[in-house]
Amino acid sequence: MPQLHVPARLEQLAAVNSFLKENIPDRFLPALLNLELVTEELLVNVFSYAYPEGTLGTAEISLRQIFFDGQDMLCFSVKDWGAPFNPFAEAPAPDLSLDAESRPIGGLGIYLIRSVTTHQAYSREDGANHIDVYFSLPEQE
Amino acid sequence: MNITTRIQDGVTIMDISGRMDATTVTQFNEECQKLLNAGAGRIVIALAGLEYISSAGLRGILTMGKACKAAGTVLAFCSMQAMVADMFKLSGFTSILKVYSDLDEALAGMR
Repeated sequence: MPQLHVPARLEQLAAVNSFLKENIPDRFLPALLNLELVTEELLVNVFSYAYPEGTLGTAEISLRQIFFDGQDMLCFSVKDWGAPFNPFAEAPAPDLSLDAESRPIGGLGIYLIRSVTTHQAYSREDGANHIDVYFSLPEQE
Repeated sequence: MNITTRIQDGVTIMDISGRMDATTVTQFNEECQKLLNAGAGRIVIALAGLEYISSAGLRGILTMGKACKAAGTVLAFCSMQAMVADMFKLSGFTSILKVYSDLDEALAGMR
């Protein structure tokens, strides 16, 4: 299973994207941009909130193909050893009906993850936050 | 991410290519602020070369939308690639911002 350890810093995004590009299975290539999106949203959260300011934590990401719910899927995982945080439980859904003046800036990240993935899971194990998100095989065009 | 600006028919056109993410959105915000400071009254942001946008980029876009409303500047977007168009749609931005399929249409819509 391809795996990458990175210091929890924004400057690592480019290295992370290279890792994704090299390791995404061919059949899932049409989902690459969405995978990059989900990765950025999750890692920016970890980089910004998981570790106290001034300390440098790490994050671990991995990719694997699995058979789930009767379907071939791509599972992307992020693990960090920071403060417990379940992004899926604590993020309110944005109100998309508001006009430009009233729309709050932000609050879209988790909503976008939910929109482009099939399943999302969070667990806290052995002092680590563990997030799995699942991508379905992109439809043949 | 690469940003160039030009003026055509009295409209400021900002061409953006590459990726608008948490590491590049500041550059976009700064370029936008420059245009508003210079008093641009009509701006089209052309996204033909933009392949990727994240929520950080969308925050930059919404900030620009609000700044233009406040300044009385007319703002439009055009020529989106599939991923960027998807994110605008998912975020509900297509109903709060002016979006055109190409530059000609955007310029016509601003007259």
